[in-house]
Amino acid sequence: MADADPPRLLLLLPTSTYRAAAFVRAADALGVRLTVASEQDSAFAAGEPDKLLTMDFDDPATCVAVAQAFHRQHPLAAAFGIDDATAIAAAHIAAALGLPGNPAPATQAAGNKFLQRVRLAEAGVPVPAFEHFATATEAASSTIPFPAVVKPVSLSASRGVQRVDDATTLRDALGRLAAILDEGAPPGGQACLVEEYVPGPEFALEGLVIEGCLTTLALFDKPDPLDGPTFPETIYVTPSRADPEIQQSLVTTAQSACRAIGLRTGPVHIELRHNEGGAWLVELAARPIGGRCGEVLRFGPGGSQSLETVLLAHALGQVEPVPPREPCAAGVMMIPVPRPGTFEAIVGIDRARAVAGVVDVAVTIHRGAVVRPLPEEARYLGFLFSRGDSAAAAEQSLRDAFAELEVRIT
Amino acid sequence: MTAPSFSVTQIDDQRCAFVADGPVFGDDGRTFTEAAQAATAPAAEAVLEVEGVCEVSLAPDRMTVVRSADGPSWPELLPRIQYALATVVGAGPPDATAGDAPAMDDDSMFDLVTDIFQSQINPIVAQHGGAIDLIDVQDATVVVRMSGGCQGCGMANVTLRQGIEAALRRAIPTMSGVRDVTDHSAGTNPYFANSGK
Repeated sequence: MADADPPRLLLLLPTSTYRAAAFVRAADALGVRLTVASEQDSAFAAGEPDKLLTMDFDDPATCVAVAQAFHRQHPLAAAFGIDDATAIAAAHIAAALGLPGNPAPATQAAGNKFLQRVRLAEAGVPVPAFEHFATATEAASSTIPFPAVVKPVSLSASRGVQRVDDATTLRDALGRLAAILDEGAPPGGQACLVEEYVPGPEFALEGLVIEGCLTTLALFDKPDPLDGPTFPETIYVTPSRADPEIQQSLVTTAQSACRAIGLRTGPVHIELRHNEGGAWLVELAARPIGGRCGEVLRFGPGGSQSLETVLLAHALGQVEPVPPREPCAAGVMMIPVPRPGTFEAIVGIDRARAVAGVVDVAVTIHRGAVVRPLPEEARYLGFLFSRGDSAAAAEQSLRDAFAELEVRIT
Repeated sequence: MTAPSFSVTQIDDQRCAFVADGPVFGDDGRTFTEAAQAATAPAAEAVLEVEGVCEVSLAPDRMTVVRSADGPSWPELLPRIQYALATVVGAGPPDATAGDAPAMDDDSMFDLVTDIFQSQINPIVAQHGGAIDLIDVQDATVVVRMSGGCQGCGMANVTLRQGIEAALRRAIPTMSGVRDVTDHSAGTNPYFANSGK
């Protein structure tokens, strides 16, 4: 490779992602040579062997073997995973190739709700009391006091997560969870947790770990109450309107969690709650924010850099210090599935786009798709994005725009 | 194996030289005037099948191409020849010395991209139930619309950037880029549906 050649990035993209376009654009913006690995073959894989790879993300050892063979012909500068499974695979690849990356055990702990809670509790990070069960059926013997939350270890995006307030709702929720796991869990992924319900407002911290230290890229309020019985994500707004002391408590807890898990580098998405007992770590993931929510974050002069650009630049060692987020408030709303059925359309998009402060409305599901709301399925119909002079204005724009939309499901 | 790169130099009005960065044409040292004569020299055979090429001479690292005096101009011919070379010897884009190569106008590029879509791109995306339509070429930017399995596909952008654009750029090094004007939200049968993180 000549000295002037740009670095080559291995981007691990699952085919179910919402974010392929954002990461490809970011790679273009950075001028890197891009190789995309997915768990299913691209139609062009045979003809473009230096640009497209296939890897089984659930089997890190085979990912490493594929990457090592590729690296011998096309030296890689970095490997980057965008979700839980690919973050684990990327960590294994980085370790095998001597590239910068997280310790693989840390990404594995972050990607497993049970291991994560064990590590955090051992380190004294405030987490809900929890019990682990091999199956949903066995969880009927839980001794966690009500109200409690049942959640699968192997699923994400609030799928299967339910609040239970008594023995009857626990029994019903576990029956429902068993069916969800039978349908959607990976082999051997039937385990679940029953954990203490933590009241209080919820927050999401988007961060970048640099040499073991957490840099906060954005702290989001989640202004819609998340009290159960299911926990659909709807509105995220930044900057947070919480008291500065509360914000500091959230950041401190998040930093402690990253250290306890052993993360050294790369993106983190952390969900926290706060109440009279202080900050509580609800979930930590060694990956960026999901869905298309990351599009709401812009960095650098004039908001010229996307979140994905910042993250890939960091992975390639190209950014120091991290550019600040643009000064305006910003919000994103995930359009939830209101009822089961066949998705037909969302009408009123032009009216929603015309609402002051709204910068985009994106429909991300196709007509004819069979949809179910949480807890059975974690899928969004689309996303609303807003900007505003204040967090309150950005939030109101989202609510006004959403009011213009009519979801048609038959 | 790394694909060879070619520098292109126009010798005179009738002749252009394609000089590789290594020996890729074997030891032929022969001149061909018809594709049928060149069955043992696949690169010469492929280039002679380009309409407007009347003679090809081979050296181990060089192909000299003669065009018909009354045929297409070099700006029209060069991308077709490069495409033919790419299909036979996996040629990469010309290196920096390709500055002597004549530029290509949008109409000629449109015709060439149409050929490439029909012969190469659409048979591949059809494997995933997709299709790519060429809408226009504007200032050397290829404008496309995706349909079928490509429309709304979660990996459409990867297909476009890593597959289609890469293939086109090999054949048309002067192409500025590819722009997708598909309404992906209107797709009804995406090959890879968004459903996860």
